[in-house]
Amino acid sequence: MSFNKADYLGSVLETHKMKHINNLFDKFKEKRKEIKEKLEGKYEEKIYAPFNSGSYAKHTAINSKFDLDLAVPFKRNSFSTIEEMFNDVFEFLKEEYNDLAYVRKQKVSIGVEFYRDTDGDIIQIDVVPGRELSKDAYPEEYYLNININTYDGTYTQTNIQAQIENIKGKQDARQIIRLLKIWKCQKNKDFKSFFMELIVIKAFDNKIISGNLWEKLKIVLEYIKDEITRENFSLKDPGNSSNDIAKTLDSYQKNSLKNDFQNILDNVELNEENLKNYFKENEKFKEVESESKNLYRVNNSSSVIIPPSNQFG
Amino acid sequence: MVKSNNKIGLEIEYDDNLLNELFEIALVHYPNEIGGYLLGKYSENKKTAIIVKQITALEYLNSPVSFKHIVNEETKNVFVKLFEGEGIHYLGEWHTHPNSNSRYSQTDFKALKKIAKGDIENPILLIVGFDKKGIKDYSFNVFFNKEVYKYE
Ligand SMILES: [Zn+2]
Repeated sequence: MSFNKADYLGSVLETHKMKHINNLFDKFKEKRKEIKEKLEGKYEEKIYAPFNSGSYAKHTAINSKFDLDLAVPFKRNSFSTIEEMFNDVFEFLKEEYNDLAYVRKQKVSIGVEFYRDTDGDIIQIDVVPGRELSKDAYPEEYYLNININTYDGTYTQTNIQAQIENIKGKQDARQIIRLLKIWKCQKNKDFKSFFMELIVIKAFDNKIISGNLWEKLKIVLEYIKDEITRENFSLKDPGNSSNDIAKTLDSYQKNSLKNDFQNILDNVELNEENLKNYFKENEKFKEVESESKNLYRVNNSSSVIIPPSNQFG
Repeated sequence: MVKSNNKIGLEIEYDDNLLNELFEIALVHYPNEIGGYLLGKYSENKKTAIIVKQITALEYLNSPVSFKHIVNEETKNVFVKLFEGEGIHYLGEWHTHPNSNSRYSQTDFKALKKIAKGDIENPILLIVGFDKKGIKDYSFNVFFNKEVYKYE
């Protein structure tokens, strides 16, 4: 039986599914629920209902590396500045989880990293506070101003709902996004997942992407390597059209991504099995899957099968 | 009778009379090897190969340690007739090891590899180790992922 690139990539995706880590994932959800309830108790009518955001909400999560995000929409009159809101949520969580977790300020979120539990698992929840643009506007438009954790108190406008909406129903694109996240994670590349999402969706918008999983991946890789270094190449943030996510990469990073993808394409062309060097199955969840999937393979079931003459000993 | 291999999760199903039939044929050709084709079908889910009948090779060369069959026009016609008439097709091979056990030889392995390059990728190989008194042991094997697995 020869190596089949599409089947192999299918197995890479299968072994990275969240269903394999249900127990751990339940713990994440439990903690997120707890944080959500604490925030609701503390801020009461200052906030709208906190909601789940991030890769799980977008169905692009992979089981080898994931975190859960909780977005918290504050009302316009809750705080006078975005930074004040951010700091208040940070202080509150720090106080609440004083002995239980390491609470820190991240780029746009507050990370709550629980100390290792008795199973040896570390649970991390990222809380993203945002404030509506004007009074009562949030339930209509879902725009939020979120803090950017620098020293000059800058903030940016975003629309997490629009970002989630942007990827909804795009089953094919999500498969490719997950594959590229697996590659990124296994190769320790520092591209933002959000960047990967947008560029894959753009490829699907601009190219006819069909065929099996490998054929689709190949077209996307070709698209990215051809387009990424073009001068006017841009990636509009669906949550803020004046925000160009392509600009989050400098020209060195863009060239390096182009080279990486060119290498994948060249080396797989040279020898199909080289695909395994770039996308590895999650070994932890492999055995069970490969067993149940086996079947007798027939390449031609519509006409009579004639065996070759043969020598036995 | 059903035999399976847990490692690959595939099975075969056959009638116990098959081995009696083969032993009688084996004796006729003793001390030389003899063999032929296994025919049947795959189950709906493609996890079980159901052996319905065997055909002894119509044209062959043999010795006490070798067996070579030639798939001539007559043989091809038999395959076509059975496929069109009974809906059964080629699943694999059988041959005997007179005065020996049922372990497959390097030649047998190469033969399976050759078959797997054709229309079916997982040919079955039944080897009957016997002497004049009876079947000593027999083994159902299958070629899968470039290796041979035994059904237990
Ligand atoms: Zn043999």
